[in-house]
Amino acid sequence: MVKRILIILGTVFLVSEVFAQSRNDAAAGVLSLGVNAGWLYDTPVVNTQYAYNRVYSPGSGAVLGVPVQYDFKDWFALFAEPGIQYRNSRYRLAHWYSETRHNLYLDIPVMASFSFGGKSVRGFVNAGGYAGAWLAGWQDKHTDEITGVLESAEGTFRKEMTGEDCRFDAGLVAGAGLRLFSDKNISCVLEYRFYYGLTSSRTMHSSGFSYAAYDNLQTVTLGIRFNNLFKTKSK
Amino acid sequence: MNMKRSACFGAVIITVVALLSSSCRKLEHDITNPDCTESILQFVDNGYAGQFKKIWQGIDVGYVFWNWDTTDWDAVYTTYLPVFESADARVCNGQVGMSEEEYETTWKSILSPLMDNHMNVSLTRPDIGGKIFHFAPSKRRLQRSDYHRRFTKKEHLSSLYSMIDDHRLDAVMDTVTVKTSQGNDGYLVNGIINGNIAYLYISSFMIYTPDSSSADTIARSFVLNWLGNTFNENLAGAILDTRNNTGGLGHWQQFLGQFFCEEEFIPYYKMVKSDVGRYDYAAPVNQVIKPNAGHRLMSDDCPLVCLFDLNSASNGEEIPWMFSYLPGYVGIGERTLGAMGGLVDNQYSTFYSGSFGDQSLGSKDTFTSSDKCSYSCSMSTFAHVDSKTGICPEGTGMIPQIEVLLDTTAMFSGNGDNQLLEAVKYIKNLKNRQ
Repeated sequence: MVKRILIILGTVFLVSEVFAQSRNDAAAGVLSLGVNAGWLYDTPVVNTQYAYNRVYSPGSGAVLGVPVQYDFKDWFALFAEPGIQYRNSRYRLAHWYSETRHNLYLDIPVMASFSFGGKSVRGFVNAGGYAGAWLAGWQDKHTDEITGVLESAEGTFRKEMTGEDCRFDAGLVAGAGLRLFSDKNISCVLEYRFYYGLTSSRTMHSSGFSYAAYDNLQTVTLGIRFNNLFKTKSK
Repeated sequence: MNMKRSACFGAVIITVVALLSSSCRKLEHDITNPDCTESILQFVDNGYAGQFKKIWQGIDVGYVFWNWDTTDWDAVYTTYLPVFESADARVCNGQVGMSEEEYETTWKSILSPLMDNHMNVSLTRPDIGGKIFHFAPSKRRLQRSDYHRRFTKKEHLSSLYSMIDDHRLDAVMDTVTVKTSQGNDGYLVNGIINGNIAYLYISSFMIYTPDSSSADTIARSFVLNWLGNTFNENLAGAILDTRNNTGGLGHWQQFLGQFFCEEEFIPYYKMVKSDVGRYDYAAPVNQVIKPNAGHRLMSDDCPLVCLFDLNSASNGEEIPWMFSYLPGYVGIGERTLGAMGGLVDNQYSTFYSGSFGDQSLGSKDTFTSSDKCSYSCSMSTFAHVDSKTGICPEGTGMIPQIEVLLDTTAMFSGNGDNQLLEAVKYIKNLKNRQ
């Protein structure tokens, strides 16, 4: 209960602070739009308990997003990036079974962005949350032969995931990066981001037992940003 | 923004993020090992509810039939957990947690809807110990209107030879007895009926001895002799009899199937669990039967009649299932038990499915201090799925094309075998029509 009160109070403070700042800022009201693409690294977080030979391993994927940023001040902006994440991870059971899990997610991170530095090169840190949904997925399964038990095991089998696997996806996200301005209207952005999943990527059971699995994501993206597209305030 | 204000702003953000992250992920230790890892004392402490949770979760994670079984396993949890918690409360008040009758009725209600006919659960009351209760969903067969007990070797052979003696059956038969891995006598009968119908009976596929005088080798030689002596150009048909056969080692499918196919075929595939989710299955493993160079193809004119009954189980019904993929197959008898899942003993840490708990409880009636834990659960490690239709026949069994119920009065008195006579009649009628 104390935690919840602190979270609510903190959030109210942050929002009121942002609006108080933006009212008096001459540089506020700049909207920029762009494209981000890059590498994604998915680390599944599962407590395997006694099952020591159930091994969940990370895998590489890709991310593509359309960042939208609204500058309240030259040092502060709100940032959102609707995008597609292609997440891969691996799973192995003992010596006889391996699986690669592929999933597509539509996610929208919404972050507060704090920038610093000069006019041509600026650093920034972002923090916020994300929400989205699982779109599609498939699993490449490989069962190895076990003499006397699983004879003549076939190679890989692809299982398409169906609607029952649809799930809400949400969590916290933070990042840092550099923004290089080639001129006043175009900039390049290099960013590292960390996603901390708070919703299980595995169906939870309703009976009180939890078999939760979470995703920790890291992304490194390169993007282009078109600035001052819709400047809503003049200096 | 001044420095003080910036620091305050950053501190609040970090606090909110830290609080959110610490409060939302749930990685508690909910997956417990249902296998024997705890002392008897801990089981007593865990009580009725603890025992129920262990078995419920062991089945939840390791049961291979969730893809087909319609039992609402979550409802089982929410319905019965309060029942066992009440029992624990009574124990705390110095009373007996559950009477024998209540304990038995409750567990029977929990387990009997499950479709795994290989499942056997044995357990004892945590506060009392003593009597071990045994539960098996396959006991639903007792409710069948056509149910009959298994016939004995003596009844079977007496019936066979009495029919030969009084000329109801024109046959020459040979019998061999072999030891099964359970220490019982298994036996095979081969012969020729009417001079042109090959007949083979196998009472068990659990034929295995590790020594040099292998029962398996003896049984295989017996089958090879039968094939060599009876499969000639005059053959009118063959009868493979797996009635009363409760199964055994899987390699018998390849051994028997290889003589009747000209190219490899897949009668079914096996589905094994791969992860904790109910629907997490590994890649299907095909059961491939490969031909032997000296194979003999059967046909509608020269059929292979598989004779099976309601006591044919596991490999005893999977072998007729395999032959149903081959030309000339005709099934005669009674619908089989429907226990076609595969068993793999003592491999819980390899598959995280199949059997868990102290397996020795399954053959005991009384719990002792030397037992490792208060329960055992034995269940299928993989599911058998029809490779053509994707249907899992567990609980349904092999359905004969021509149903012939056993005349138990004749068989149990050693005076006749109407199912065998019907199979012979089918082939004779076919021959007469040609």
